[in-house]
Amino acid sequence: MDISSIKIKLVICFLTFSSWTLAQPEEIDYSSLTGYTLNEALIYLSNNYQLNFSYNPEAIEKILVYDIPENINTTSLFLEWVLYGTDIDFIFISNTYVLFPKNLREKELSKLKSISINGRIIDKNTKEALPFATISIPGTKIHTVTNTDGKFALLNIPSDTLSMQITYLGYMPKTIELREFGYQGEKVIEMINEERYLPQVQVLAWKHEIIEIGSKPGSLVFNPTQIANLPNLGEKDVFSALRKLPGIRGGVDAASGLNIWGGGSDQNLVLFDGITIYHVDHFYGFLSAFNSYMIKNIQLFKGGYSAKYGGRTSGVVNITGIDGNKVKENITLEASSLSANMGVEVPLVTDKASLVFAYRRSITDVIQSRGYQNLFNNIYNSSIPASAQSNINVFKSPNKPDYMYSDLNAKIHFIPSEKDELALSFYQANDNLAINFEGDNNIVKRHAHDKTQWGNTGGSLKWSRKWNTNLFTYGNFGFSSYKSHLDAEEAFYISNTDTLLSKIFHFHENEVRDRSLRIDNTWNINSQSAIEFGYWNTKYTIVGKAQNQNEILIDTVGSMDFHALYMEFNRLFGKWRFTPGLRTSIFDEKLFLEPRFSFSNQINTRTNLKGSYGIFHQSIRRLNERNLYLSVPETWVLSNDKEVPVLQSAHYILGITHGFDNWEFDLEGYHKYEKGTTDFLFPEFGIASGDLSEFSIGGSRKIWGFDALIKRVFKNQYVLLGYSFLNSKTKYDEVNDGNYFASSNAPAYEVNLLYSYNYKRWDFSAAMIVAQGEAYTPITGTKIIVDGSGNEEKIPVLGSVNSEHLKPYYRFDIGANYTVPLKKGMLQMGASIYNVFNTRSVKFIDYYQIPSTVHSYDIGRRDVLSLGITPSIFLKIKL
Amino acid sequence: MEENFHSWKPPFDDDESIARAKAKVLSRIEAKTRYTFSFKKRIKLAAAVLVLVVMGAMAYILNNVEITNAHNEVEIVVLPDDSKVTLAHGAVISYNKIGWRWKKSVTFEGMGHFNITPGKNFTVQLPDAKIKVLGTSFTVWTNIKSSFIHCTEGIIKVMRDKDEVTLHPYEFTTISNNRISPKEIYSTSQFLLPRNERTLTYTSVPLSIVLRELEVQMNIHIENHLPKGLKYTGTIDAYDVKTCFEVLCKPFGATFEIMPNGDVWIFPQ
Repeated sequence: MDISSIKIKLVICFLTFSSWTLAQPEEIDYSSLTGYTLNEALIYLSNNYQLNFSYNPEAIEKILVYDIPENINTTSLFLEWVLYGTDIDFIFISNTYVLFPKNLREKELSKLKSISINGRIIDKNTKEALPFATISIPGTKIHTVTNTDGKFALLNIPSDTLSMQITYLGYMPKTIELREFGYQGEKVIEMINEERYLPQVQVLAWKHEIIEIGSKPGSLVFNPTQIANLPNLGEKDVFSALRKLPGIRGGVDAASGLNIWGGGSDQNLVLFDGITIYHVDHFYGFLSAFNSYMIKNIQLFKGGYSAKYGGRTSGVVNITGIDGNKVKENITLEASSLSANMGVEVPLVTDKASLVFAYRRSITDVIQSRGYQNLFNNIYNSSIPASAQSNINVFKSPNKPDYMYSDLNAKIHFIPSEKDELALSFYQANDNLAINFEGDNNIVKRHAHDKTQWGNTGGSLKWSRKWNTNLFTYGNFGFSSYKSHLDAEEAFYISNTDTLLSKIFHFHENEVRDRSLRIDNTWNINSQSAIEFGYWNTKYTIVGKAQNQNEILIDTVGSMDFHALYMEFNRLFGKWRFTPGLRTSIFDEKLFLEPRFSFSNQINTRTNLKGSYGIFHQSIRRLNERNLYLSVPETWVLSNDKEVPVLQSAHYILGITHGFDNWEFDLEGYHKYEKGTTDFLFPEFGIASGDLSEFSIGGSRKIWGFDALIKRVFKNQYVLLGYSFLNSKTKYDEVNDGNYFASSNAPAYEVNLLYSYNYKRWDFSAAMIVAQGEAYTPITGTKIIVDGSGNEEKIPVLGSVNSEHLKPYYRFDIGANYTVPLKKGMLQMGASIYNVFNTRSVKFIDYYQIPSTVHSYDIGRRDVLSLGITPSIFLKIKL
Repeated sequence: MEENFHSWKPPFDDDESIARAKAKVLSRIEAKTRYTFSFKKRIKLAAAVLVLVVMGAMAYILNNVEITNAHNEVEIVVLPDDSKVTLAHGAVISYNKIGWRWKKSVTFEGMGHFNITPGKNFTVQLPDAKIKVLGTSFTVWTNIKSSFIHCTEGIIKVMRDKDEVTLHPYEFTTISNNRISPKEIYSTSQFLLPRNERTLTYTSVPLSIVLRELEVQMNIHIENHLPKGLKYTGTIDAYDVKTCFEVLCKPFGATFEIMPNGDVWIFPQ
């Protein structure tokens, strides 16, 4: 080997070595990274060694680089070493080290770091708690609602949650930035009422929402601030507003309570601040007995509701009253063509205690406005039986009625500590009527004078406590008494003289006393699970008294203890929310099991599927509704197996809600099966007096139907279109050969259209309803029967029960309000026209006898018409 | 009958009444004649009004200003109130000089940074939203499908239909699918300008901003269904869509789908 060849080889070796060493990456001293966080280490490696990484910095922020052994000489080994025992793994893709969570499930991610938020939602101006407000975390399915005290807890939410959204009907939605809000302690969130007269608030975007469709089947929340903007009969009326919703019978002018999904009005549980209300209306059902000034929130459950509620078989109307302004005094005065209304709110201790008082009294005994006369005449003509007349103006007769109604609400609300709240409420509603009836057959003159009083008195003491973030207790002890009392005097004179033949005094009374204790508990286990459990005890006492002169006709006292225990579990599984529950009731020494189950599935952000099932029992029933003529008191009875059976109802509900942009569609189908029904089947032939022998008892009812609701909200307009279909069939063994027949008070269809428009200080509204006419039993002819003495008697031949329907009911109402903001309050005036087109549909028919011979008579038919055009006005000032 | 009728006399002097009535009628006719325009006069008046309206409209239209940055470098536009707008390549800003006296309003599309002089309310109209500001600076990236607004100073209000969000310094929001997203935070006072580079490196940058930059870079639309507030650190090669989103989505346990129109949808797994 020569020297030159050796030189060449050396040069080659040098070049090879040089190129090899140049090609080698600079050796990384991984041990020098000890003590840094992994995030810092990766940024260092990326900046100094041109290594590519891809990761979520917050997922690795707590991972430290510790004690790197010397044999760790590659980035892969380094990552394996550091990530060992953590929930992070890595993969090398496309020249990049990608760090990712080992368990990719979102819920596992949220479990890694979670926080809880406690809060209370109140009105910004009055500091009043807002119950049932919705709090949600955007982009997740986590949401909750405030309890009756406006308190809420969001448990185990991801710690990287930036914001939460709060919505409450009638208030501007609010988004809370959590970094500003903080996480510790109970946070108070103030919401701004959308009432635009508040001078200090510049409302930039608010919606004219009237209702909110609940995620639970059959549930709705009604915006009480919008009641004033709907057409009415002279009073802002809660129940007439609710009757504009699908599923609630609206094709009637006056009805005691609500008929929901084919159920009777006594089948609804109506709660006002925890007090069970039996007398829910004034003026024979034209107006509800709730002063709208006092109402803060209205929750309506049409069926299939929670195990928390029981004792009734149809719907639940849960009304929460206002607590009163805790910052400044205010007074509201209101006058309408029917009544005068006053409300006062006084802060007793700023931010701690308040007093609210409201009194409404009709002026109908002083001023008989045309609207009032229209209403009374309609009731009068609906009541008088056995007459061909249906258009009598009682105010043009010498027997002018003396009628008035009133209601009073008072409440003291006190927040002794951050955890406790106390409220003492009182409620009283009364109707009084004095009326004369006269008749003369040219032989004898009859003069009757009836004085009737009826109404509900109730009170409650509420205590609620939030023990900790997870446990909340609500306790309520209340009493309620519904009393219906008649003093009647009937005198007979010789015609055209003052010679008295006889005079009889009659007295009739029915009273329901209800004393209830209720304890409800909510235990929030975590953001996905909650348990509700509680106990209800009610003692019902029903007193019946009737006396004819010196003869005692009825003198009964019945009582029953009702106990109920319930538990309900609420659990979120991915997109599904399941709520199984059980309510066990004991009354009349029998145990009744009431399983309940509901579910909802958030198919996507726009669509929600919902359904429910439940068994319900009812042990207290109302047999008849109050009637003007005969002044028959309402008769409430307790159920027992001997006379009136316990009513049982099974509900099956399935629905879907779909919303996009400003549209919302809701479709709900339902099936109900009732056992133990009681009906007064032939109202065409007379009035129910409350005597059990007049009723068909122990029947069954099959109901199915669906409600469709389309809601469109604009910035200053609101349209609600509802369609209800109802098929209700009833069966009694002794009627219609034991076959099913169409139920009363259950129109097959009803279409409701509600429109409201706000322009500057004006609010305009219009409501239209078209409904199937009432079912009735027709007379198909007459037949002559011969008695044992050979006398012939002509009697009517009836068709099948409720086999015919009257012509459809149609009505169109309009209303307009004008609001003037004042420096400290507002002035509002408005007018409504009920039944603008004066379409007087036939409400129901009466058959009456026209005597033709001693033993025979003809049958006359009288059409009782609905209320005609009725204008009304109001003026309200709030200071 | 006829006779009786003619013999009837009114209880006042009829001749004098008729004379008075005639005089009144004549005076009314005169008055009417005095104030009636002839057809020619009406035409002249209408023409004069039309000319004024057309001239006014022309003057308004001629005072429309539209500036487009066709250069590759950023361009600074000074508005009549001394507010400065830095326009990225392709950005278009327009306003009306006459209308400016009453309303400080501009229409904007593209990417830019606004530095607004304090004064009256200033409005920026985007294709899908409106921004109201009062002495502030902020960055806007907008196109027909979406917008991104980042506040660097002062307070700005972003509105779309009934939705609105108020941004404080370093807060940003995006508008996509007709919705304003909940606001997020990115602590920088710099003018954020999408980079024209194949390899993009981020250090603790909100994922929303990363996605917005990728949208501009790749000329696609990204539908993000991940929770807001996520941050990203890493290096992305924006050359290949599939690889790029594999690297980007995996750290968040997310999956993605490339739609037929090229849009990318990101979902939590």
